[in-house]
Amino acid sequence: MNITIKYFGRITDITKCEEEMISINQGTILSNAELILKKKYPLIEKELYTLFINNKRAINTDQFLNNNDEICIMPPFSGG
Amino acid sequence: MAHFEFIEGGISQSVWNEGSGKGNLLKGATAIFKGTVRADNIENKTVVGIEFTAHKEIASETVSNIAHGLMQKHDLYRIDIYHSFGFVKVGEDCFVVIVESKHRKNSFKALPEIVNEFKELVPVFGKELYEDGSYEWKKNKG
Repeated sequence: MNITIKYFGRITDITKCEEEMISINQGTILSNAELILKKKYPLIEKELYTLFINNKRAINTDQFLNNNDEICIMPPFSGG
Repeated sequence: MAHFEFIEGGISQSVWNEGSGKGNLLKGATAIFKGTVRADNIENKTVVGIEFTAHKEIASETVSNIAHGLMQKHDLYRIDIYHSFGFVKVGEDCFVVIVESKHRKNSFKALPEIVNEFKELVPVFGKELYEDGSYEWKKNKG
C-alpha cells in the first residue's frame, strides 16, 4: 500500500522535495515509517519535528497505517 | 465571529481595514497587532524578506480552534487574523490580528494570547532571505 509524506520548512532542505509517496507493507506502524524515512534521509535524525497523520498531530506512533494515509513532518513552527 | 485568511505576499491595510465588524454598535474596543518583516542583520548579512509556507488546512483548523476558545474565554465580539503566504519584503506586514470587544480590558488581554498561540501552534514556516541570495529558516523566539 502507498502513503504520502509531506515535508515542511527546514526539513525540505534535507529531503529536497516537499512531498513523496512511499510503499509500505500492510501492518506497518507509524514508527516503522519514521524509521524508513530516517534511513532514507539520515540528517532528519538531528532535527526537531512533529508528526501529523491525516491532519492530526500523531500522539501514538504505534498506530497502524492505512493505504493513502498522509504523514506530515513538521519542524518547529515559525509564523507570525 | 472569527475570520482567518492567508494573504499572498505582504498584507496591506486595505485587506483588513474593511473586514472588521463596523456594524456592531455594542463594540467599544478594538486592539490590533501587526507583525512586520524586519531588516535584521545577522553576521553581516541583511534580511531582504521572508518566504512563508504553511500547511494551510491544518493551519485553518488550528486557528479556528484557538479563536473559538479565546472568543469565549475573553468574551470577544470578533477576531480577525491574516497571515502572509509566499514572499514578503522587509517593511511589509506579514501577520495582522484584530480583536473586538465591549471593553478594552478584554481586547488587551486576548490580543497577546492569540498572537502567542498562533506562533506556537499554527504550522507556518518562514525562510529569511538575505541580500546575497542565501537564507536561514526563521526561528521564533519565546
